[in-house]
Amino acid sequence: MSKPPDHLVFDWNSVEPPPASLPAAVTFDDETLRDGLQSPSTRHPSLEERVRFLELAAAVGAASADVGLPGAGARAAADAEALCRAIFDAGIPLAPNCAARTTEDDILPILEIAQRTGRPVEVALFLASSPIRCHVEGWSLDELLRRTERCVAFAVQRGAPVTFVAEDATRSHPDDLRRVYGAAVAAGATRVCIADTAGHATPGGTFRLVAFVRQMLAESASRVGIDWHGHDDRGLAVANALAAVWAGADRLHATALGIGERVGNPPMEQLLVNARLLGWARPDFSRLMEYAEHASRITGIPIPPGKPVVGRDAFRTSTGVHASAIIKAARKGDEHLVDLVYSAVPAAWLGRQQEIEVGPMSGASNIRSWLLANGYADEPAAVERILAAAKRADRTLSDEELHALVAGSPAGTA
Amino acid sequence: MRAFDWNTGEGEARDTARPLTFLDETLRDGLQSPSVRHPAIAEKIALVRLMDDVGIATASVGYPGAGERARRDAETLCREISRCRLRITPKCVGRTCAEDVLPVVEVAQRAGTAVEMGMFLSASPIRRYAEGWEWERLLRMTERWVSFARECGLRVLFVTEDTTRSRPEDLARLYQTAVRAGAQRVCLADTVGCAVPAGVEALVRFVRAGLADAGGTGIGLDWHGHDDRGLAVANALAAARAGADRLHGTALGVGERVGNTAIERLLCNAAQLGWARLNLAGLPDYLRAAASALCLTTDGSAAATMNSTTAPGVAAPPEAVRGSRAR
Repeated sequence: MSKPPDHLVFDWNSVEPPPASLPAAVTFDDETLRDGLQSPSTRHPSLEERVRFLELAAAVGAASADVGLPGAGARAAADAEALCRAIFDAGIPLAPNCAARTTEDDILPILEIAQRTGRPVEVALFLASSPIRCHVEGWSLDELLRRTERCVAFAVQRGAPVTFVAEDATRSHPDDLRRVYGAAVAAGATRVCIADTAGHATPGGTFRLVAFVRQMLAESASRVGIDWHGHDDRGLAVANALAAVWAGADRLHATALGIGERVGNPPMEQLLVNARLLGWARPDFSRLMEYAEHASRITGIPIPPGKPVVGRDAFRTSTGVHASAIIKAARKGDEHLVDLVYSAVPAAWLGRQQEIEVGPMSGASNIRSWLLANGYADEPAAVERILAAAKRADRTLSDEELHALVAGSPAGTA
Repeated sequence: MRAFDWNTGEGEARDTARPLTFLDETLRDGLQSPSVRHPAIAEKIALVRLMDDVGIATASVGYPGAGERARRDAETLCREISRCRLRITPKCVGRTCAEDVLPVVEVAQRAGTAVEMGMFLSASPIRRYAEGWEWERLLRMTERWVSFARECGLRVLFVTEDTTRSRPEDLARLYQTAVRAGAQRVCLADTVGCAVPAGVEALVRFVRAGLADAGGTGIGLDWHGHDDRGLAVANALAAARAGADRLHGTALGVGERVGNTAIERLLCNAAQLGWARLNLAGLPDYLRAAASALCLTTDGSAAATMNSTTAPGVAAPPEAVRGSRAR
């Protein structure tokens, strides 16, 4: 379904074979309810809204989800527990994790949730180790190493799986990273997370860093997984996440619509579509629009029309050349061709279709297509009249304006 | 911990001595977004001046073949660029056919200025199949209309539409034909937004090698991308690294479907990588003016900033953000 006949598309993306470091499977961790809610523009959704969100995250293909930072206070702890219970009770196929700073005070409430629910809750233990921060705070590397060992061991000994997160890794020295990741793994961390906290990395930088960590872990012969956690400050979040996988990361963090701290994280919907196009995963997209729309509703952050994959305009055109090709493809009676001739992402994946509209950049084919789709005959006089109005207009015409034009009224010139 | 920059390393330098420049498509591909308002000519003039302030080398001034208003606006913009002695140069677009080439020639002659024409031809097998075009006819059209445009004094940028899904051997023949006919630049277009950065690098290197073999080492190379997979910025940077010397973008990434490469993100990345010297301080004014002229603010849909409250590179115009959030 996703592949057009071979002879019709030459795929430059697969000229180079994927690197040997590509993992056998890639999973997705949904950070919307933690990093997402750090966006200064979001409203904080109710528990009920968050539970529904988690159901949708699982439905679109996330394997795990961050449900908060219980150490932030009593309310955060109660909410995280309620979300874990909801996941377990409703059998939502999602492994919950909670964030914690490297202190026992942050780890304890997570251990308590695990104990009270009787199910494992992963601890994402992050070391605030940005070089700039260490300089400002006057922390030495030895101090960081002691804290890392102590806190990882504290959680692991009490039965919690630990992902150890080095903040600002993309600006940290390789020797220092080797020592902190080494200490965390020695103390029992089962995964390490490489965080591009400031959104500094380029795809090349991401690849080098992840390859370095993978090599380092391979030397220690441990079967430790690698997470990539990125931000979009340079507009490179999606490309960085893909580069991380090519270099060996097997779990990607993402948020719905990319909502998150500052300009946000990689958008989950874009990572999922890329993963499917690259053959890394076969997520079910039947509820992807619902996932995005629910996230928008509960955070109060609108979906811009130009948002890739889920935006209103993703499969919409009023350009003559484009419309003409899509219509000719339709005449060949091949639905799949219609969906591919001007589209990288098949609209059908999302339960959507190519939409042809009429505006100042349209040609006669846009108008014929609209007339036929709306039950009118494509009489040359009507086509002519509407085309003239479209050329005078300063934006895409609405259906109401077009109906009025068919009826012979001069509307549609607004 | 000590600071370190993982972004620097082997293979990160641009593989070309040609300086990197930028082409702004806001007033052409940007206006193909179904959500924008088409600005009045005075607003278009103001936008071109702001692009020039930022240090953008070329402005797409429209598609004259699309109709009388488009032709008139393009002509006015060419005149203004020349009258105000802006450094920015004008570019018009059109298909490789009489209907579209003649209006561009007319614009150049009436404005009395040098004009570059981005001349499109669809190269991919899928487009040829859908359209029922014969291959030999495409070569003949390329030869004919590129030569004609050159004879009429236009500079020619030969654009292969849907390059990223086109066969290498087809691209090689088309570019050879176009260059022989006098095209000064070629443009690789990811029309449907399907490329990933590694694919872009492979494609750009292939085309460069082909041009060099055909004695076309002096031919400029443009990259034109779309953001359907969220990879537009990374693809453009990959193209520049592999040897493209002019990148296309639009203000706030506005454009056909989900849009083009956001030019503010391109400019910020290029400056950060040391690839270009630009006046980034001029960007907020330019983006605010573009958001207002294209009405990216009034449609609650939040076109606002193309990325709502969160546009990387440059803070979204605050009034745009408030406009969209108020809904």
